[in-house]
Amino acid sequence: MLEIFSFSEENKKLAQDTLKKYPESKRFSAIMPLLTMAQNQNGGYLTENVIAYVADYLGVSVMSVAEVANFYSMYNLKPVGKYLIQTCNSVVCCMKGSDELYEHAKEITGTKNKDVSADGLFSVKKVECLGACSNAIAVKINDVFVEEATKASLAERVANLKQGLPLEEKFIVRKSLIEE
Amino acid sequence: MLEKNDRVFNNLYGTKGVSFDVAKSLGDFSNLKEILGKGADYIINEIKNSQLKGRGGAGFPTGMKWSFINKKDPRPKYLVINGDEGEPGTCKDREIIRHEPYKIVEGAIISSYAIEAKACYIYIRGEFIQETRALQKAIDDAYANGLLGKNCLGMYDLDIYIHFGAGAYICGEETALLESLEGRKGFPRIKPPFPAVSGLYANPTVINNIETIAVVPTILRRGADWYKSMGVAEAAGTKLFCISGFVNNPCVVEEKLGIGFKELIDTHCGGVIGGWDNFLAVIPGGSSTPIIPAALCERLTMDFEGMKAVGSSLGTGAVIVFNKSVEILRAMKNIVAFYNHESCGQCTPCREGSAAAVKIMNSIINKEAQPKDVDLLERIMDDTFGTTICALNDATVFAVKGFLKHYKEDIKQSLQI
Ligand code: FES
Repeated sequence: MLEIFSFSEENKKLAQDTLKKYPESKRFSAIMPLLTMAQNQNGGYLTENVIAYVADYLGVSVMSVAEVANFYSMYNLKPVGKYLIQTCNSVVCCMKGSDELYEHAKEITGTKNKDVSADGLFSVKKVECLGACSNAIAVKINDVFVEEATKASLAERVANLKQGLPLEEKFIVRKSLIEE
Repeated sequence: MLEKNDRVFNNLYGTKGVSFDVAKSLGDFSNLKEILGKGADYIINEIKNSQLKGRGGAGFPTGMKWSFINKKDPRPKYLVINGDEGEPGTCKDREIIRHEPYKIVEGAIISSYAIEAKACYIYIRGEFIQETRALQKAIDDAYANGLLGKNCLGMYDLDIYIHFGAGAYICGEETALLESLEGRKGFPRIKPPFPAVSGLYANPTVINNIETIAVVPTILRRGADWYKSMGVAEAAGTKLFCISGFVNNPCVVEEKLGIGFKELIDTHCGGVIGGWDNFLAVIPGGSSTPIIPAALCERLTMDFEGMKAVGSSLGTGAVIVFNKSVEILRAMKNIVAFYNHESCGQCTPCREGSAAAVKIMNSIINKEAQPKDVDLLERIMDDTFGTTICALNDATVFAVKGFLKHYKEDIKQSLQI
């Protein structure tokens, strides 16, 4: 079955603004931002149709867009849950126990042995260093950081999301001890 | 220890609020017009005199990099700012982006003026969506206040654009970043030509790290001599250190280059978890910098020479502290697997070498390896070193050889039991 994809009115406007960032003849530069917009609009993942739409929109070959979609790890080429939980797998977080946290996340979201939970709410994946190493263990749920994550704090987040509460943004800022 | 009034980043934690007015009250933009009025040559010279070196890991002198741009070349020139921090352990640019974004904007204005760029792209890793709102706001504020756009202060035209990455460590490599900005996969380019001659869209381009750009205004405001007066001979000025791992209070902090490692950890992080007796080793500048065991850290200083003396390097300033709860082999395997995962796959030695290294590490951890496999691992590292287009494979080699230098016999012994 062929689903039809096209940018929402809002995204059409955003796409035009995005194109203005780059020199007129450099439409390729807009491939990444447009793929991101398309992915967000399409429930968090890209399909061949979405990729082809972005290619047509920019007037570039499907292959050149597909190649980009395949290369960068933030483009999902398979369906994901409404909330994509990404646990950092790199050395600081790993030494602090992110493997266990990942397994825990799989368990409480009901995604053991599957990519998306039965209720469609969750996917869990390991990602590399999230750039928040001083706040290890770092986890992201969609665009939102969960810092100094523990089993308990993650479980609370997941429970809230299951209840339909919004994804809460809060940063933990660790200061030097001599900072008043 | 760095005196409070010698800090470049006086709002690193955002405690004073993050806005154009706050930034101005802390000195940002205060005499921008006067600085620019001294001219591009003055600016480049002053930055050269300050001995500022790139803060992204490679440590190339910033002023010299700028002077490679040929002003007589009629092609458009670009400033590209690298905010794709992703080397495990590194989380300093994140603090600048969300709490000191006005310093990035002012630094971009001054640096662009110096190299005659009319467009500046800031490439930020895709994960920093929330953080980047503050930077976008800073850019918007600058437009609203006549500091960006056309004929600003009657002196310059400049547009600044943010471009997000999408999860590829390799795009921190400057030519891979350019490929990515041009809408392709992040395959590093063969150099020469260098970006100063043929960079973004094949035009002359300077690529600087976010931290480097953000310190430029303060250096020009307070003078190269002031900046140089901090730090040590080979490593002038201050640097952001991001301290992570097994310390009591991991944090990002600005300090003088040359500060003692132990002083850094004790003063800002409250020491190692379990005390210094429980300290195992440190990876001093991001996961590619060779590990330093505790015994060599007694008098270790945080500067280029100090690191060289113990066979490591300062890298990005990402200090990863291990205490005795850490299993060295697991850390080593994790780091090898990271570089294997992030290899773009373009060069065979990197793609295959790192894959082979992961295999060997797994067999060591599972005790299926023979002691001679450890030698094989070392040989693969030696054979692939310096054979690839970019430095990612060399990063793998540095990391692995660092571990082997200090733990090879232990690893071999663990396989004989
Ligand atoms: S190692 Fe986990 S955020 Fe950097």
